[in-house]
Amino acid sequence: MTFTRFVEVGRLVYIDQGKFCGKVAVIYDIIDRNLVMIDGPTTGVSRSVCNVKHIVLTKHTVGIERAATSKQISAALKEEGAMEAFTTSKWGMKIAGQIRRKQLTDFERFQVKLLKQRRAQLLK
Amino acid sequence: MKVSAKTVAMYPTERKNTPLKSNRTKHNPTKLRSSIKVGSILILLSGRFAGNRVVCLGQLDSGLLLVTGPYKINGVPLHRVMQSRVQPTSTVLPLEGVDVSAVSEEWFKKPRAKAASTEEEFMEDAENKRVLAPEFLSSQKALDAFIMPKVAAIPNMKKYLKSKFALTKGQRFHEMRF
Repeated sequence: MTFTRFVEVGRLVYIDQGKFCGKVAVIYDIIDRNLVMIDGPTTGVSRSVCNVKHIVLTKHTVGIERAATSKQISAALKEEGAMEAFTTSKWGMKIAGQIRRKQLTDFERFQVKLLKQRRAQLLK
Repeated sequence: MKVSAKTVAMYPTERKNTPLKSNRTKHNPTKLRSSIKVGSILILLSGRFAGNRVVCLGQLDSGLLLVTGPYKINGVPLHRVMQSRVQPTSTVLPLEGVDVSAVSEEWFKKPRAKAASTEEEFMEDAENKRVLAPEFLSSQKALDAFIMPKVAAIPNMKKYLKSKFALTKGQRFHEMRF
């Protein structure tokens, strides 16, 4: 198997550390082997420098030029539907689920517990 | 002290004692926490019923909250709690029009106990025995009867009130939402 996901301009990345932890952005420039420049105009990630150790590469890309502006990036994301493709992917759904779980109120947590018990009962 | 020659010819021989202004005597009524409303489900954090989920019926004149289990569901009687000793949740029962005017704070006050001098007195302490006011019981029954249909209208609510709150593995209180 060869590698299919590269640190490249236009690659959608999931940020798993730092200020924008948990958000998705696009690489629009590469500084050196450790640093890239990312931007997430639709996800609330400001145009910034990011260490490659802080990001995880997704399989989605958008066709943008190097040093594309925020406007160009958001237009490309909209046109190609890349962000939507990520959020509806298994990984994206999992992240959305984790966020929802964190936001549960006490009563909702209790209802989840009941449903879990019900599922376990049915599986038995 | 400024003494103007115009008004005072001589110093007074005796100084008048005038009380200083003090904040201690000022009574600040307790503010109800914004997260608590009438009908809110609260988690009790301390005391005999710690961990129980109860229904808030409102704030009394003393600033304490009037809560009930309801007694029929989880055995927590009508009683008063301090609002800093509860964790409010965002779940609210629709308790519009609940009438707690019949509830008297006197029912809940503990009479000051007299020290027993002999052993017999200690064993059967008739004087310090607390008797529930009959109005208390009727009031509790009436309030429970008011709440029960509202609880029954929401699926799983009865089970929820019956269960106790506890932290499980991986749950951190400060990261949780209520």
